[in-house]
Amino acid sequence: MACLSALCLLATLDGGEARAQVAGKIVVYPTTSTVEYTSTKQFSAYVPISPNTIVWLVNDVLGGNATLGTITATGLYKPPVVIPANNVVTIKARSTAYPSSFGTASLTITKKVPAIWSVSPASLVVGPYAVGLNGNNFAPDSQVLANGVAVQSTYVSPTKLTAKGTAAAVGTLQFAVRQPAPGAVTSNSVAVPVTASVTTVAVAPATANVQVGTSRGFTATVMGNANTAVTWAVNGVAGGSAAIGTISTAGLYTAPAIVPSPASVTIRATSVASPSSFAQASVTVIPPVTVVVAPATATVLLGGAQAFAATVTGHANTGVTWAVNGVTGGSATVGTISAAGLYTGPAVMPVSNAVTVRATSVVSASAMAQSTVMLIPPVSVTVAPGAATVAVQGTQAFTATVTGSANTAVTWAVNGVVGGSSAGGTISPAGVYTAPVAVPAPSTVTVKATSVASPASVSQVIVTVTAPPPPAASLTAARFLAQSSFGPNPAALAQLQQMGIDAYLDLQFSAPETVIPVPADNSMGTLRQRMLHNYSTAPDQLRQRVAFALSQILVTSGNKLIYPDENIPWLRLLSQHAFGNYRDLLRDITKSPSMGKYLDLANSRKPGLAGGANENYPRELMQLFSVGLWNLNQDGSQLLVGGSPVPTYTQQDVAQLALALTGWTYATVPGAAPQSMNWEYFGAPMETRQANHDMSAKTFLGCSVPAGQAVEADLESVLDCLMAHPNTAPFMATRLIRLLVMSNPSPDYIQRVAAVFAGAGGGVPGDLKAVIKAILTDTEARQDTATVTQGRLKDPILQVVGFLRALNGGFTSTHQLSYLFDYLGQSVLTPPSVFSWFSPLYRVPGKPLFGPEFQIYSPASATLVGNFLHHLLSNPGSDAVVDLSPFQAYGNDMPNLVEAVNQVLLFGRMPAPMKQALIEAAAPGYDAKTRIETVLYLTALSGQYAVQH
Amino acid sequence: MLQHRISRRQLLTTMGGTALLSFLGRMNALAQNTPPDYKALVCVFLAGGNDGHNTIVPLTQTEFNSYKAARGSLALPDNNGPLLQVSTPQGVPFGLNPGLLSIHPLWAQGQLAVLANAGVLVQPVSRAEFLTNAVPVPTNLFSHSDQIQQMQSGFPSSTGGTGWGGRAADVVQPLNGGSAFPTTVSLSGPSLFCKGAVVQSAVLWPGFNLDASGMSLWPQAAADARKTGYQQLLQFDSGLELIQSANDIREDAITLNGLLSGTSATINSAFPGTSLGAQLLQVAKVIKLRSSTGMSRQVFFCQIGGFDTHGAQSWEHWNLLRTVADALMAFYNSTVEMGIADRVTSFTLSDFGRTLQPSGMGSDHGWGNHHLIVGGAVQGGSVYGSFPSMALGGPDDSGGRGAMIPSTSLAQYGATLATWLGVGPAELGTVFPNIGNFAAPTLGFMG
Repeated sequence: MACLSALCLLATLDGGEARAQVAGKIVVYPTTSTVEYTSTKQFSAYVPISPNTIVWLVNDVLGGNATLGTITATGLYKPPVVIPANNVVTIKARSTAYPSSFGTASLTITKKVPAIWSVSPASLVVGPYAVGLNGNNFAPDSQVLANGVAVQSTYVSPTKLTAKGTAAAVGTLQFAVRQPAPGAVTSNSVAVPVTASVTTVAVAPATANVQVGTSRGFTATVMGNANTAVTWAVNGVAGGSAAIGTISTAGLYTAPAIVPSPASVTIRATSVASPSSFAQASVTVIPPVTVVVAPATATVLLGGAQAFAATVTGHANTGVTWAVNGVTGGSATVGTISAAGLYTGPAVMPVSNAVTVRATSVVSASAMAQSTVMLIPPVSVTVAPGAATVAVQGTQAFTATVTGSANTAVTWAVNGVVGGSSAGGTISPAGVYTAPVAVPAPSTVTVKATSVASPASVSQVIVTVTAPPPPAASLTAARFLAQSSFGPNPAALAQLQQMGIDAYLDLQFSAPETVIPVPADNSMGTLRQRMLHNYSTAPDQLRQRVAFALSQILVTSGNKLIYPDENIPWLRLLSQHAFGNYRDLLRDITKSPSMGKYLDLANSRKPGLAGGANENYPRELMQLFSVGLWNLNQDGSQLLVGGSPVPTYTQQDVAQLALALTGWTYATVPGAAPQSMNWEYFGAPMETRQANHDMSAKTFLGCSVPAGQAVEADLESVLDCLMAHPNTAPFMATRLIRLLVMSNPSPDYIQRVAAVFAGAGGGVPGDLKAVIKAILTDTEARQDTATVTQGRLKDPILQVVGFLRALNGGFTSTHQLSYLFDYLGQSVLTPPSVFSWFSPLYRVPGKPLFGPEFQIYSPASATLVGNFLHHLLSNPGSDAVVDLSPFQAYGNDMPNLVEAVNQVLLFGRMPAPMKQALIEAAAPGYDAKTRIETVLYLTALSGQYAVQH
Repeated sequence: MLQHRISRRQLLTTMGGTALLSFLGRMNALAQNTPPDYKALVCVFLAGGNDGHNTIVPLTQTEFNSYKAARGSLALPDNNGPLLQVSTPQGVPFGLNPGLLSIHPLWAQGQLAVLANAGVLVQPVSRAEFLTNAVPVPTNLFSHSDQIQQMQSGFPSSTGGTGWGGRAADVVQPLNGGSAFPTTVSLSGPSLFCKGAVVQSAVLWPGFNLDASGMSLWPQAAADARKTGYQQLLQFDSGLELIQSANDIREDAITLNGLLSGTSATINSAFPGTSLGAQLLQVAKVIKLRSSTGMSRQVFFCQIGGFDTHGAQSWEHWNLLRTVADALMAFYNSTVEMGIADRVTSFTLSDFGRTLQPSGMGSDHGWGNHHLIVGGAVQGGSVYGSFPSMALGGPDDSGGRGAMIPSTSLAQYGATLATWLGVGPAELGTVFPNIGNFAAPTLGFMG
C-alpha cells in the first residue's frame, strides 16, 4: 500500500516470496523542494528493502500534524494553513520492518509566489513617479521593490499593486514584489526605462470666438521646467497688431474693430526658458449683432393673426422687443403684437392698410428688422343647401357663394379629403356630391367648401348618407320558385311578381327547351359541367327542375353509362317529355338505348335463346317507374286488407312482364347490317327483333296480353296496363310532390294530384303538364304560413345551385366544380343505383316523418355542403358567378344587412333571435365584405335555408 | 320543443360554448360509458377485381403443378419473393402472396382466415348447369359496374337500392340505443354497401375532421363571433320538424368535429401513409370514440382501387396486396391497442375474381374469388369454403380460362359476418333474400 510508482514495482512483484533483508538505503524524492502553502507535494521513496513497506513523517511526526503539515500514507504532503515560523520541514520515509532505515528530504513552505505581468506606465521620466503593477498572487502585505529597495506600496487587489517613488537618474528601474517571511518569496522583475524630462506648454482655451472690438483672456501652463514665464504673439507677431488684434503680456487678447481676412487668427505662448516649447490657440473674430424678421411681408385679415419670428445673430442673447408702427406691443388701431411675435390685426381698417412690424435686439438698440403687413378685409364662403340626406350612390349638388374676394373659386372636400373618397362619398369640382355604395360609419359626412383666394375661409355642411331598407321579397313568389325552379333569382322573382303564377306557369310551359348537346370531347365531366350550368342558369327553369325530378324516378347512372352519348338520349327524353304525357315518356324510356343498356332490356330475348328474358327492367318498370311495391289508395296510403299491405306484384308478374318486353335490340348503326342482337349503339331508339320476342299470351298485374302480338304491340299493352293500374296515379303523384314541394304531403293533397294524373274531370291520363300545375298550384303547396311538417330538405345540388341563383349567379359554362358533388353523395348524373341517390321512403332518424334527402345528409356531407357554399361565396373564381352588390349598401348596417339576406335566402322568414345572433356574428368583421360574407354564409348554413319550405 | 332548445342553448353557454352536451344528448341517449357489447365490421373493397389466384396458392404438389401450368407467366413465386408458407389445421399447405408479409403472422395466431372461391350466386350452380343455362345466375357476370353493385347490394341482379352492410346495420341498429351517430360509415365516399332502409348512408373522409370552412378570420374577435353565430343559429326553431332535423345534423357535425380533432380520438398505433391506411386510421378513431357516440354496433366501408390488373400484374399486384396487408395489420394493431381486437372484424370484398389463365402480363375478369378475414374473433389459420380445382376447364371452371364458379355464395360469406354482428337467423333473409337457396347459411369462420 505504500508502494509508489515504478520504483517499487519489483518489490511488489517479489512480495509473494519476500524474505526480510536489508538491501540498501531508502531515498526520498525530491530530496530538496519548495511548496506553496496552498498547494500539495507528492513524495516518493525508493525502498531497496524487503519487505518494502514504509511510513511517512514530517519533522519526525508520523503523518505530520496541523502545524507542520500532513503527509498521507502514499506520500502526499499538504502544507499547514499557517506557514510556521521555521518554514523548512523534513520529510522522512521510514521502513516499517527496519525503523532504523529511512530517507529524508527537505521541503521549504512558501507563500504563493507573486508574479508581475506588466508595469504601467511602461516608461518613466526622471523625478517622482507613480506606477501600477499588474500580476497575480499579490497580498495586502506585498512589498514593491524598485531596484531592490522597498518603495511606498499600496495593495489594490490580488492582481493589482500601486507604488510611488522617485527616479533619481536616467537609466532603468527594476520592479519586483516581495512577500515577507515566514515563507518569504519574491516575484520576477520587470524593467522600466527612465528618461530625462522635457518642457511643455499648454494654452487655454484652445479655441474661441471673439466679437470685433471685444477682449478675451488666455492662460499658458509650463511644465517640465521651473521657469514658467511665456511670451505671447498673434499670428506670429509678438503682442499682435491693430489689424489682427493685440495681446497683452498677461494673455488678454483684444479683437480688431473689423473682421480680418481670414477671420481666424492664431494665439501663441512660447516658454521663455525653452523657446522651442510653445502652444497655440485659434481665435475666430466674429461680426456684430444683427436681427432678421420673417416673414418679410404678410397679408392679414382684419381680426386675423400672423406669427412673426425674429432671428438674432452675433450675440448669445437673442431676445428682441416687438413694435407695430413704432409702438412697442402695438395698439388696437394698428394691431397688437405679443412678446412672442404674434401679430393680431385690428378689427377695423386703419387709415393706411399697410403697417410695420419691427423687432429690436435687446442687447443692441441699433440691431433691428421690420416686416410690412398688408391688412385686408375678410372673405366669406356660404354653402347651400345647409344640410342634406343622400341615399347610397345618390347625388346632391351643392353651391358655394364667396364674398369679400373677386376670386369666387372654392375647392370641395368630403370629411377633409379634397374630392372625397369611396368610403365617404366623392364630390366633383362643381360641387356635386355622390354618396358611397354603402352607408359609412358613422353615417354622417362633412362636405366643405374652401375659398381658393382665402384658404382660411371655409363653410361646411353635414350630409347624412342613408340606405333604403332592403326590398321585401314576395313570400308567395319566392316559395313558388323554390318549388318550380332551382331556386328564385332576382329576375324570376320580378317576373313572377309582375305576371302572377298562372301567367308565369304558361310562360314556362312554352319556354324554348334548353338543348343538351353531346360534348365535343364526349367526356362525362363536360356533360356534368353542362348540366350544372343549365340547372343554375337555363331560362326554362321549370323544365329543368321537372326533368331533374324525373331523373330521380326514371334513373340511369354514369357509373354504367360512362360516356355522354350513352346518357344523352335518356337526358333528352326527360327534358322533351317533362310537360308531355307520362305514357309517352315511359314508352320512349323503354325504347331508349340508355335505359336498354342500364337495366339490360337491350337484347332481352325469349326463353330458349341464350340470355333469356331479362327481368331487371320489367321489375323496376313496376317497382320504381309506375306502380310501386304495395297496393295504394288514391291518397297514397297503403291499401290494407285485413290490416296488412298487399304486394302490387309477384315474381310471376315480373317474369310475365319480362316476356312481354323481349325482342328489343340496339338500333342498327347507319350503313351496317342489322344483327339479331346488335352491339351497343346510342344514336337512335332501340329496334324490334320479332324473332327474339316471346309470342305467348302473358298475364301480369291483372292484365292479359293476347298471344301473337308483335314487340311494339306488347309494349303498348304493357303501357295500357301500367297507366290503367290504380297505383300509378297516387304513386307518381307522391313521388313528384316529394321531389318538388314537400316530403310529407297530406293524403288529400296526394289524392287531388293523383286525380289529375288519372285524368279526372275530362283530362288526359298521364298529362304531366296538368299534374305539375296541380302540384304547384295546390292550396297545400301554396300554404305560405309554415306548418310543422311542411317542406323538404334540399338535396345538395338544390342547396348549392339555389344559393348561386339567390345571389343572381350560377355555375359558369366552364366551371370545374362538378366533382365536389361526388363528396356530397350526389354525383351529378351518377347515382349509385336505379334507386337514385336516396330512397323516397327514407324517414328522418328518430321521427315518423319522411325525409328522403336526409339519407345522404350526414354530419360530414352537411359540413361539406357548407364548405362548398363558403368556397362559392368567398372564392367563386371562374367557376361561379355571385353578385353581392345588393348587400353593399349595408356593409356597415348590420340590421339591414341581415334583413337583406333574410329576404334573399329565407324569403323574409328569419326568426327574430336568429337575426340578432347574425348581427352579433357579423359586426366584428374586419370590413364590409367580411360582414356580408358572414351573414350570407351563416344563413346558408341554417336549417331554415337547407329546408325548402 | 322551442323551450327545450333554448334551455339547452343556455346550458351550453354556461358550459363555455362547447357542444358536447348536445352531442351526448343526441348521440348517446342511453349509455354514458363504453358500450360493453361492442362489435364492428370493416369491409375493405378491393376495387377492380383482386386476383385471388395469386393471393393464395395451393401448395399440394398436384394442385401446384396444375396452378403453374395454367398460370404460366403469372405463376408465383416470382421476382417479388418466395410464397409465405401457411397450412390448414388439417395440414394442407398453401402459400400466401409475399405482399401479405405483414399479416402473415396473424395466420399462426389464428386471427387471419381465407374464404376460398366465394362470389355472387342466385343459387348453387355446377359447371354443367352453368354451361346449359339450367339454373339462374347473376346478371352481367364479368362486368365491373354490375358486379361491384351486386357484391355491395348482395342481390344477384343489378337492382336494389340498399347494400347488405346497410341492411345488416338496419337489423342491429336498435342496439345503438337511439344514438344519432350513423351506424354505417363509408370512408371512401358514398357507397351502396352502407346504405340501408333505415340507416343512413353516412360518409366520413379520412383526415377530414368535419372542419367548417371560413371559421378562421382576422381579427380573432370576428372569427369567434362567426363561430358563436354558427352554433347559435342552429338553435332557432321555426316550428318545422325538418328544419329542426337539418339543424341537428349540423350540431352533430360540430360535436363530431370536436371529438375527431380532440385527443380522445388519438390512435397510437402506426398506420401506413396510404389512402387505405388513412381510411382505416379514421375507422379506428371513430371506434375509439364509441363511448362518446354511444355506438354498440358499427359497419364501415373502405376501398382501395387498382386491382383491374389486365397487364403488368406481377409487381402491381404484389404492391397492392402489400398496401392492403400493411393497412390491415396497422388497423389490427390499433384494435389491440384499444383492447377490442376480438370485437372488430375486417374482411375483403372485390368485384370478382380473375381468370386463372393469364392474358399477356395480366388476367381477365372472373367470378369466384378468395377473401381475407382478419380479427380477434376470427377462427383463423384456416381456409374456409372449397378451394377450387386449378384445372382449366375443370369442375370449377365456368369456361376454359379459369373464371371459377363460386362454390360459396356471397350471401353465406356476408351472413356469417352479419350473424357475428348480431343478426339473428330469422333476420338473415332481410339481409340476403336468397340465403335460403344455400344449405348452410353460415360458414364457421366466425366460430
